[in-house]
Amino acid sequence: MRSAENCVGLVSALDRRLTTLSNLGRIPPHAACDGEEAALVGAALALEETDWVFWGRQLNVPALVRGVSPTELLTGGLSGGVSLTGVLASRRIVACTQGPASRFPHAAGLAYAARGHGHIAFADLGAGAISDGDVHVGVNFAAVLKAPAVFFIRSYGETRIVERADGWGVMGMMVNGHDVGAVRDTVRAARAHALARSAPVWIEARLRRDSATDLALLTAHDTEVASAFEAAEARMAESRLAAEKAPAQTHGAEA
Amino acid sequence: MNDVTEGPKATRTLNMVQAIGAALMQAMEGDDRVVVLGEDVGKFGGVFRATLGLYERFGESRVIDTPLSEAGIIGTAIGMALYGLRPVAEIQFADFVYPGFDQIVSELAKYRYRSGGHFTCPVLVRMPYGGGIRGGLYHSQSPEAYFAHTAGLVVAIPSNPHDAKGMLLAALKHDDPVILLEPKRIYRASRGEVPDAPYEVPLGKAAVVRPGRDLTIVAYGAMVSVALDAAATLESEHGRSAEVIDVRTLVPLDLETLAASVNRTGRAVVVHEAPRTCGYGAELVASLQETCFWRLEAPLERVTGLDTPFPHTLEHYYLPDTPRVVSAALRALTA
Repeated sequence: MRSAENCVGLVSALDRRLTTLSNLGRIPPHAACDGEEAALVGAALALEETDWVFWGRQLNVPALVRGVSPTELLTGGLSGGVSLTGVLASRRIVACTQGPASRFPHAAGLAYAARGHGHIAFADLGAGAISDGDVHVGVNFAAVLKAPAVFFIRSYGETRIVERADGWGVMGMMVNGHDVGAVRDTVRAARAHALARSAPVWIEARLRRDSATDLALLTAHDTEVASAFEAAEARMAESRLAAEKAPAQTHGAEA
Repeated sequence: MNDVTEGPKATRTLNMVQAIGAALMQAMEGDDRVVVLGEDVGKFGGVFRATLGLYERFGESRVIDTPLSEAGIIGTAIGMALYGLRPVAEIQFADFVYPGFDQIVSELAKYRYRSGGHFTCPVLVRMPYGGGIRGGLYHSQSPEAYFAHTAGLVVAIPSNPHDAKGMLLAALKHDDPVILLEPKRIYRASRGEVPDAPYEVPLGKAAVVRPGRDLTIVAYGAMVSVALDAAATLESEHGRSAEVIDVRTLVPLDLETLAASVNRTGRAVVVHEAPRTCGYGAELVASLQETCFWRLEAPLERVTGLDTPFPHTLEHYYLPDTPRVVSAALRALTA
């Protein structure tokens, strides 16, 4: 498994490549981590591979942590995401819902169904969507149904979001979102609590908008991503060629 | 007292609520993955008593009294289904479904497509719908067209106890979401013979409930009995023979059965209690026009609810009744 710092650097390098491709119109809009790499990577690293992950748009993070290669992710980007659906689903990564918070009730229901099986449902959300009613619905259902779910909010500290946990009667935790090790340890503790008590946990990972990321870390994986991109381009070209050479499909009776 | 017959084909006379309750009981006995969730479905047995006895039999882990939130009921049912359960989500009245509408339309209906077929959501959403119980504007609506308009959902509406049990059991074998709208006006008024043993009424199949020669009346839910009354009146008072078809499954629609009838009679009346504009009847007459145009002898008629909120006190004006269906039939027959 990659180290936490290694993951942060790789995610960042991938983001820059995919953002460039997006700006060039080669791929659909790409949602980059934009300074939230440490929070997202730390959370993904804390989870077991049997845990179910309800993630937002920065899907490269749990995918990389669960063993998807940069080449696969870049190929997925170049295919408009189509080739990634199975890759993610087979790793119990449930890709983004239409409404950002819509996945919170899903996580609650899945965690309820999974009680006693030793794994949790994890749901991530940026605090920009904190006013969506499904945030309350999901955490409240998890609390009432005693479901082992961890709800992870990336916040910018405008309000103390962690205090909302008291209203649902669930455990609340707060962590520095720029400290990848601290986030990993906090989510690990939350996971253990959720399983031990069969109850949800609410985490606020605090971020600063003006955070400066280590330049060396940002560029550490540029070479690796460049060669992965070449491999992805070659793979896409092969697919196109194979499609062009394939005999025309006819419907109805076979000749 | 229920009428009971014995033997391998034993039946008993049940009303629709009892048939639905019997189906849920058998489904939960036969499949540990089936769970029921909703408002007051547990200890109380449901406001219409459809889940009576399930809590005592299967306990609180499989018969779940939820907080009062339709988005939560549907949303958690989705999560349960992703994990492999077969949730039956009860929406207490169809009028209450709208807070959960986003979860149905944006999430439940699209999970299979969005995940490239890797995730399915076999959630059965049951909801009592329709007027005729003096329920006023928030306990009487017919929202079937909203769901029929959403790709990814099966939409089914039984009209009698036999079909209610068989369609519910078929829905629980289906690997994708099913919206089962139950006409609460006939929850107790509709009684009939229901087999004791489990059986399925296939989804996607309409039923010819009264054969006829001169005209086709197409209806579903509580309007089937209105259509049958109208057919009897047309026969006894006007000497005309009307065929009545119960649509049963709105999506996927059994257009073959409908078209076979209308191609033969050349005339049709479509009946539903939802408002007229963009109601499901519009889809029915459009499909029949496309399929049967060269055999039609008269314009297709619609008899529907009105384009108003469901009324507090004037539901007898709002809801299609036998005289309105007979009038439309006579227009079609004399055009």
